Amino acid sequence: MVTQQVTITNPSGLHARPASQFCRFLRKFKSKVFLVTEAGKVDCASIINLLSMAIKQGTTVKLEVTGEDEEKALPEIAEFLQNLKE
Amino acid sequence: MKIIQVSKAASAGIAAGKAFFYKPVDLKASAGLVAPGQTGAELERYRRAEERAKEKIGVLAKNSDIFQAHLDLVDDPALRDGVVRRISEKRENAELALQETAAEIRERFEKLDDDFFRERAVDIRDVCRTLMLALKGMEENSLAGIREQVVLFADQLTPSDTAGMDLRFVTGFVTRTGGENSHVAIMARSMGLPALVGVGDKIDEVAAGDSVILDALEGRLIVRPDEATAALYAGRRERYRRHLKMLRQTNGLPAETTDGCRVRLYANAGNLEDVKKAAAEGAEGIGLLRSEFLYMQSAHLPTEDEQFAAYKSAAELCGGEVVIRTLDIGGDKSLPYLPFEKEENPFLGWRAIRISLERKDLFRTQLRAILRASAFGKVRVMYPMIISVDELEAANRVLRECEEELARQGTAFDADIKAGIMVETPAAVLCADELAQRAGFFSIGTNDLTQYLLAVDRGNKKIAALYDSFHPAVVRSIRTVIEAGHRHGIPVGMCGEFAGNADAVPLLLGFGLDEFSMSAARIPEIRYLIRGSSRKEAQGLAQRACRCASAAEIRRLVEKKGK
Repeated sequence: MVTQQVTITNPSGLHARPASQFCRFLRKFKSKVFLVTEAGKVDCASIINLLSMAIKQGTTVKLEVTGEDEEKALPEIAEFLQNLKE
Repeated sequence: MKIIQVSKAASAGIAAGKAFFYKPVDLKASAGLVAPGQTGAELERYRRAEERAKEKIGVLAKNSDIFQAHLDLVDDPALRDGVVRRISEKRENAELALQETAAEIRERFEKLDDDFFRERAVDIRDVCRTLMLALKGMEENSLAGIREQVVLFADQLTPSDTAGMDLRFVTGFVTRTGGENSHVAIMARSMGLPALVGVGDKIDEVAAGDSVILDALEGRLIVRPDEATAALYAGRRERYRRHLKMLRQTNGLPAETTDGCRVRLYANAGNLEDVKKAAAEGAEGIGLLRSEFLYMQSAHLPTEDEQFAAYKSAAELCGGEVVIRTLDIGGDKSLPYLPFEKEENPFLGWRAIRISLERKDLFRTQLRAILRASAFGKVRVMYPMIISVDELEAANRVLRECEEELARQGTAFDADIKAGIMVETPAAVLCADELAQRAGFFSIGTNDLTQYLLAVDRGNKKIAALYDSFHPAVVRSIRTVIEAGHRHGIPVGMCGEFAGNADAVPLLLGFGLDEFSMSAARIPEIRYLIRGSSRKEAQGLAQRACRCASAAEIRRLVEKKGK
């Protein structure tokens, strides 16, 4: 498992379209991806679970990636989250 | 070709199109469990439903990000795992598993602090609906996607049925049940579309997709018309359009009887679109603005600013007076954010002014918004369902408090704004004198008044035929109310459907009604009739009508005059 702290700067947090894009983006990786916040830990394979965390702008989350391509995946995923702009 | 004769039409005109049958879909799951060996098959059934749902959504997703997101929702582990677990472990049938998983997910979303995330619950509901339809092997039967002219057939059409419908391609309506004052009749008239209601089992003689001609002038349905008939009706439709055009031409002329008695012709409006259409039909003002649309179209209580914006628009769009009725809603129409307890009889229950006087917070918000709008156009306030002087005085006290508040805040409003009441209960009729001394005006709500006086539910198909505003009880009550109003120097109007009834014109003119407010589409014809009437003759006829013992006698009296 590898982890990294990421702050969500997207104005509308992790809402439907970005969450959808995020989940789809994750499919190319073999690892399991989790986001950890104060409210709990969520498996990002489920948009529903991700959305129900209601992650708003300014929240710092811990990105947890576990799997055979975790080293490569972590920085790419962190960058994706940081670059969300809508 | 088949010709089906039915009884009176609810809305005049001639329409043609393909028959489209509307049936509200029942998407409830049954409570049954599947046998232990059957869970595999049940899982497979759900998997196939997922595929069908994805096919349907996939088509829409090509052009829409929203539907693309819906597509992802179908595959979402939270949804799928929940359903699969309920099927395998609890042996629930697939529909039930879906229903319960969906409910649980929606609940999670609805608890969230943020409006936006709460609204995602709507997406979940949409996707699960598509999945449920696929599971049940049903087709979505909304009008979405229809691009040709259709005549809408249904057992009945309630406000919730038609609320979200895209009625652009609908040329007319036919319903199995319902009377002249059912929701579909009123809506058809306000849209200027022909409608036949209460046709009973005759509706079964039409098949979906049949080419039909709806003749609401003669009360006839022609199924699969031959060429000659189609041509004949094209001619009739044209002649009817010309007739309407002629009526509209008299529309530029005042609503004045042959002996110089001038009345006001106003329109009833259920939303801002109606207000716009009213002016086009020659309405001099809006005699009834049903404010419920603001409460029903919103997922939250409409704020003072939201209401003010709408009332201000109405006043500006109208050009003339706008009479705004305060919230008139009850247990039959419930709002998601205003919970109603289950009532045995919501029509005699907690509704309308009773809600406003108990929930003064809601009432103040609405009154303040109306007052603020009164600075931008001529506006009146009207309280619904009043049964006593106490209620009227209590309502007026709140109104005065709001006026004082606004004055202190330096916000502009019409200090002379008139506050009046809908007279629609037997109590209001019998106490009309006392009420007239304290109200700025009356508006007779014949729809509900007829129901309460005759103890008939106009929506109840078994006895809907008993509902008749020509009943002596209603006619005499109208006379009583108008006379009481005039004794105390206040104007009396009518906003029930009776005001737009051609046969009622002599009675209403005769009793001295000052203001006729109706579906905008009725205005041209009523203006035409008023201009052809003599007030003096109408007075005589109206007095005679009050001595009649039955509705049939009154109708004969009025029809004789018309011939």
